[in-house]
Amino acid sequence: MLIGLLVLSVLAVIAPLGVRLLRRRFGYLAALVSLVLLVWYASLLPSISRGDERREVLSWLPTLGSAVALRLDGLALLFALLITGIGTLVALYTVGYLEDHPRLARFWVSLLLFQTAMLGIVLADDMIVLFVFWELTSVASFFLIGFAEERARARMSAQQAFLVTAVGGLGLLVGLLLLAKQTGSFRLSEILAQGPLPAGEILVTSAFILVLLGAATKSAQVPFHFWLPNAMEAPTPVSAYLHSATMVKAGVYLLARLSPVFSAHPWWEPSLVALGGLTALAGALLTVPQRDLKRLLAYSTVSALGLLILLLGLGERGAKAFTLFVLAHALYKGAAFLVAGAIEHATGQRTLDTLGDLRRVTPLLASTVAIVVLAAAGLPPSAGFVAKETILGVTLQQRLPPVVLLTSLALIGQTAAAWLVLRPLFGRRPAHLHAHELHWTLLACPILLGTTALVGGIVAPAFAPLVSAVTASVLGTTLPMYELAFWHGVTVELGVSMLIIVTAAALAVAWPRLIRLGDRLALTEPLADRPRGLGRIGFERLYHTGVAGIVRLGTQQTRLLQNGYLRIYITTIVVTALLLVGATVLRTPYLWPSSLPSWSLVDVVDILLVLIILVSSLAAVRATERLAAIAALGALGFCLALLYARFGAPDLAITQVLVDTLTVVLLVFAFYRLPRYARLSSTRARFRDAVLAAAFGAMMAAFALATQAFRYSERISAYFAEQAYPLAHGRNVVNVILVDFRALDTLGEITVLALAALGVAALLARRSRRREGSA
Amino acid sequence: MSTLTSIILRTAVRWISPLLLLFSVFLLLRGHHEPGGGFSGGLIAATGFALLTFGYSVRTAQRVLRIEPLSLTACGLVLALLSGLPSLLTGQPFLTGLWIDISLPGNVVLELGTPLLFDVGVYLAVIGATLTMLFEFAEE
Repeated sequence: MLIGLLVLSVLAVIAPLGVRLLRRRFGYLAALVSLVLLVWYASLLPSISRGDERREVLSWLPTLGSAVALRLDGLALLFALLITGIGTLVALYTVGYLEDHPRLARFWVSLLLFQTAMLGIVLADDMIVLFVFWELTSVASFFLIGFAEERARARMSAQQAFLVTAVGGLGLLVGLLLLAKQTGSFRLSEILAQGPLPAGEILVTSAFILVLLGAATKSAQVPFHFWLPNAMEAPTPVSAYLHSATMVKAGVYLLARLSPVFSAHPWWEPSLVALGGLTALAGALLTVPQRDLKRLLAYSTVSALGLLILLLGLGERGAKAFTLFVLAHALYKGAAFLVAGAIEHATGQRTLDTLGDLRRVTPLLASTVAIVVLAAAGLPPSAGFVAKETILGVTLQQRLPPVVLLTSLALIGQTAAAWLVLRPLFGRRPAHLHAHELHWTLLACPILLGTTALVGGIVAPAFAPLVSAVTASVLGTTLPMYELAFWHGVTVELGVSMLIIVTAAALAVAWPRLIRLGDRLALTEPLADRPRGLGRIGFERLYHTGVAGIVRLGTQQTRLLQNGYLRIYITTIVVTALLLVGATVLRTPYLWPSSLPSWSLVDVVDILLVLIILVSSLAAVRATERLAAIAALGALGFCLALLYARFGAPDLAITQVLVDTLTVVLLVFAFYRLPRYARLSSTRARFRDAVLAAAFGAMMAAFALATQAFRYSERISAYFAEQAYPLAHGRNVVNVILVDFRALDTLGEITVLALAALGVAALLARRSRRREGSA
Repeated sequence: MSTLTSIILRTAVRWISPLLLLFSVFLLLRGHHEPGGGFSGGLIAATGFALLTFGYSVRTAQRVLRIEPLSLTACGLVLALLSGLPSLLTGQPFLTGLWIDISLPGNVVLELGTPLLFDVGVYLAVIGATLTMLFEFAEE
């Protein structure tokens, strides 16, 4: 398992090189790698279905109690098969879909990174590892949605999907940490072994809510569902892979994985059934009045994800239906997206009212569409048919009218979405519609996936052991033995199922009427800048308001803090230092040392230097000419340097002299460009500044006295002085500290220096370029 | 800057600048035992180039320097960073000073160590950063 992840990530790293060498044919290589992984996982089917597990552990952060621990059980295997299987087809499909796109390398890096991370999520046995992979899928999804970077809507949708899932991701992180605190372990298998957690603990309830938040954002549940239809800006292979078959199921996967821990919680069933039911209904209602084939399928995916959450909420009763529906949905919805992409690629159109009569325009594509639609509509003998029957069986047994109603409505909506994909085959041919030849992979991939979904019902009995193994993981029990059959005889479920298919077909026929309703409610288009209809009250509007608020807050605080006035910056720094340091100094009991340093150490030269410093600082303040002020400051600096030298700090003195010299040099260069040296501040402002300056000076003096009085038990400077030669071969302690004892600090300082130089260069270069531009 | 040039200044600069550069290397090398070091050495060297800029022009100073000051800064940073790596090989913490003694004829022992490399890095970084700012201002 580790090797598989490693191979995928290495492939992601070498993708730019591979794409340069192989161009579009790199897709064949990626497909081959996925296929090898698929075969390997498939070869594990018998042993895992028997209830075995595979584990691999790589030491990673031993001090934090975290390791790269992977575990393959039934649930993980189901998802791993989907990720590698659909990954293979999507890679092949991309060869024909993106052809030699100029940004192909970036596409493959992101997609392979995603595939690695997604496999990582389902295999992870360590919660930190799971979280890292979880976030990586969000990052990869961001780059893939924003792939058409020249379109503003693609950029916005990428940002939206990322922000929504990242907020949920943060919640998830806290939730997982709380879970680790409660159970004392990061290892999922150990947590699961502890069985249901005590529901009364506030820690457990908070962890549950936060994990649910993470799952709901990732799996596009109401009220976070809006990002998924917008994510359809991504290239179609991405929509098929990330935004229908795999990534959006990560939230569902996580809840299924943690279900043995939380399902005994009293909130589990009501919250999941309500959340899932609401999402299933909202998705179903929104899916029919759509024009854009991909948006239509996206809303139907939202509905399906809601249904999956609802089934999880039913616990033991829903587990089997859950497993079958995960499998069936990934197959037929992936195929539906691929076929929608093929239609768009062939005709350049993907809205229902600009397409028509495809069965005569391009018969081969039309028959592909037909196969996929039959599978997606859940007609026998498809996998969707078996899944639908099982779902209906579960909900009918519940005898909960609202759940039965919700489930039926959701299934009607999803089936109607499938039938709608059939509409482009019939009707009048639009005037300019023509289709060009398709690359073989654009047809082969949907046919393969669609056929698998279509005959899935017949081979269902063979998958019974896998379904049992998955259910065992979800329920945290030993293997229950399930019988899977394609034909259950004439039952109530069959009747309802047929009724759903017929009602959905009727809806698809009545689409032209429904779309007018959709237009009136403004459901058919992505949210505009000036929302109309339902867009005014939708959750996406809340998102936009929230983001705008954050941006406004950021602007305001930047304007307040980064106001661009040097004097305000300095005042802020001085006042802050005055308050913080001053308060500390005043509270020091040693403010006045019992024995001041003897005055005899000070001689006439020192007093003279101090006097010059005082006079020159006054002169600098009172100067009416800039040159005089500079000269006064220069005198001040040199006298300071002399004082340093006299008190035994020659290194400091040298540096002070040099810095002063260079400052004067720089000032001279800037001299002619500075504005008139005028007195701009009022007397009152000057008085305020004088008080501030005097207070700061007094504070520094008090500080110096306090440090004099404060005796450390052990002085580090003595150690440095003693050890400078024996340890560091140097007799100049200052320099030894700089280049040896505290070399890392110095490294940091010269880095800051380099950054400052870079900043000055960038700022001045930009200014001179702007001047050249305007000239 | 042509207004500032005078024959006296130019002649003086011609003699003083090389001396300053030489002095800066002297300061750099003696820094481990006597006052000096990479920081002050670097500032002295930068002063040498500043004088060239005064007496002649920015172009002259840049020509004498031969390399972009920002690249010089980068070289200095990299050198300082590299000087910390050998100690990692011997299993000691990053930037631990390592020394070798080379016996020269005449009973002289030359001590060479990674802190010297580090100091040279500081020296180059300081020259580079100061001159980047100086040249940018002077070119304005």
